[in-house]
Amino acid sequence: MYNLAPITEQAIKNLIRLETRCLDQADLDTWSSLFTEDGYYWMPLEREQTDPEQHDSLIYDNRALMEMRKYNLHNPLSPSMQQEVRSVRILSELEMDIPEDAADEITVSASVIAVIHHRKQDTFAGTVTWRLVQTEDGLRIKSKRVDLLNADAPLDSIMMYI
Amino acid sequence: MQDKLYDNPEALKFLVEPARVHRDVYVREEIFKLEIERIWGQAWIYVGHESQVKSPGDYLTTTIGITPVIMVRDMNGRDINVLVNRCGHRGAQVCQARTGSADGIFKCPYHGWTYRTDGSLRSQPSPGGYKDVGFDGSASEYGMPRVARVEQYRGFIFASLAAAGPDLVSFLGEMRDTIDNMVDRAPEGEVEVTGKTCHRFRHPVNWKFFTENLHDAMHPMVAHAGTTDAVRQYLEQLPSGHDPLPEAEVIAPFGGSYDFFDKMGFVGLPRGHAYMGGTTSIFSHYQVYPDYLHAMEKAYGRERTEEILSFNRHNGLIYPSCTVRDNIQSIRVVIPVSVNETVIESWTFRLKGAPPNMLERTLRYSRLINSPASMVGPDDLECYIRIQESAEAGAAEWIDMHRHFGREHRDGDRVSATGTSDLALRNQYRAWLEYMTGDWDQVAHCTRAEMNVKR
Repeated sequence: MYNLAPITEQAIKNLIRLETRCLDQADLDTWSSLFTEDGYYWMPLEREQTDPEQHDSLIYDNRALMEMRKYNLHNPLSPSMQQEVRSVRILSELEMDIPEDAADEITVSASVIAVIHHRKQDTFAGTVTWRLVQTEDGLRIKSKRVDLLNADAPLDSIMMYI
Repeated sequence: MQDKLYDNPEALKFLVEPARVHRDVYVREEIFKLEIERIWGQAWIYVGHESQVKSPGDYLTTTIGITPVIMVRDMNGRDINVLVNRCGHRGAQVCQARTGSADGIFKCPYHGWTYRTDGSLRSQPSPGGYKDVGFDGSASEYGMPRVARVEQYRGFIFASLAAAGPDLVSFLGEMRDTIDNMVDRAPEGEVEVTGKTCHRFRHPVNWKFFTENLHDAMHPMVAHAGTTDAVRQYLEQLPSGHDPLPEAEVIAPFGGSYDFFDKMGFVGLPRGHAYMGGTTSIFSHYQVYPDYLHAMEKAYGRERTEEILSFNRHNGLIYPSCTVRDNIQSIRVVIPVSVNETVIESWTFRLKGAPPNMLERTLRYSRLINSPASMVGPDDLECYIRIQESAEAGAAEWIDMHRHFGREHRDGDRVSATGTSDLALRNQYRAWLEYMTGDWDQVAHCTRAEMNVKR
C-alpha cells in the first residue's frame, strides 16, 4: 500500500485548468488521459437524475467512448465533422471542501458557460461537478457531471464535451 | 406573394412526379400549412404512452401537428383524454409544464378559469358577470376542446383532429405487428416509458427529411463512415483478445454493406407506413443475454420466445408522426414546428420483467445514436441541412428518387423492394399526395364542427 500525497487546493486548480484547456484546444487525447481508467463523463437529461444506467442521458461516456470521440472529431469521413468545431469555456470560482483528514477523493463544482462554434455559435451553460481521486500518477478525474440549464429543452447538435 | 398557389389538387400533383419531387415541398410556407391541415390534421398522431399518465390527473403536454394538446388521465382513472391546450376565455395556453399532476383541475393563469380533466369548464372567478348576458358556460367552445378522436393500441395513445376517417387499428394496419413485438418482448407483456423526459433534438429543417432518412439505406455506409471508422480505429489499438465492446455492437452495423441493407429489404404500406427488415436488420447480431432469454422462456415458452425474438424489423414508420424500433424499445416522435424547423423526440421504454441489462442497452443505443450529443444523429442532420439550404436557394429544383424505380413488387396494397430502393421515398410521397389532394372540405368541416358542438 502506497502512501498517497494529500490532495491540495493547488493540485485541484491545476487539474481543472488543464482539463478546461484540453477541451478548449480540442485535445481529446490528453483530455481523456486525465480520467481514471474507470472514469466517466456524464451529461444527464434531468437535473435531479441520480442514475445514468436506468435513465437516458445526453452523454454517458466511459474511457472507450472518449477514445472513439477522439477518432471521430474532425474525421474527414463524417459530414458534420467536415466543419471545424471550436469551443471555449469559462468557469466560475471552484467550490471545494478540502477535509481536515487527508482524503483520497474530493468533490469540486463550478458554474460553466461554454461557447461552441459549429456552423453557428451556440452557448451552453450549467453546473459541473467533478469527483477527483488521488492516484499514484497524481490527481485524476473519476467522474465529471455536467447539468445543462436546458437539458430537457430541444437542443441543437452538441459537437464537443462541455 | 403567391399564397394560394398550391391550394388546388393539380398544383400539388405537379410537385410529385413518379420518381422525383419538387423542392417546394420542403421550403414553401403554404405547403407546410396545407400539410398541417391535411396530413397532421387527419392522420392518427402518436401522443404518448399510458405509463406516462398512471394516476388520475397525471398529464403531459405535446402537440398534434402544431396544435398544443394535453394528454391527461381522467379523474375517473379509466379514460385518457386529449384536450386542446387553450383556455375557452381568451385562448391562452392553460398548461406550460411538460408533465405533472392536475389534482383534477386545470387553471388558466391569466383570469383563473378552471377546467375538469375532461376539458369541461368548471368555474370562473366572480361568475355574476356572466349571468343573463347570453353566455352559456356549458358550450364546448368555452371548455378545453377534446380532440376529435383518441384511441390506444396496447398502451400507445394516438389522437386525430379529424372526426371522420379509419379507426386506429385500420390506420395502423401491418404496423400493429411492430408495436405488438415491442410489447411482447417484455416478459410481463407490458412496457413503460423511462424517466420524465426524453432526447429532444432540434432539427432546423423540414420534417420530411427525417421521415425520408429512416429507410434511406444508401446513406449509412457513407454518412456514418466517420463514426464507424472511429470505432474501428479504437478497436485496432486494443490488445488482441479483448472483450467484445457493447458500444461497438450498437455502432458497427451502421457501417453495413450495400448488400447487407439490400438483403434487409423494404416494405411499403398504405398511408405512408413502412419498415425495413423482417428477418434481418441492424439488430440481427445483437447478443441475447442469457438472463433475459431465461425470463422470456419462462413467460412464453421456448417456441413463442423464438418467434418474438426473431422478429427483426428496423424503423417501423407510422407515417407521419413516429418511428418505432421494437427490438431496442424506442420511439422517435416527429414534432413539426415550421416549414424549416422540427423537433425529434426520442423516448425509451423499459420491458417489464426484463433484467436491467436490457434497459442499459436501450439507453446505450439512445445515447449513441439518437442523442443530440451522439456521433450519429448530427451527421444525418448535417446532410438534411445541406439539402434544405440548397432547396431554399433554388440550387436544387427537383429531388431525385429514381433508384430501383419500377422494380418494386406489388402485392395488393403492399409494395416491397430491395433494401436500397428509393421506393422508401416514393411510398411516402404517394401517401403525401393522397392526403394533400383528398376530399378535404368534408373532413375539415367535421373537425371544426366537432370542436363547437355541445357535449
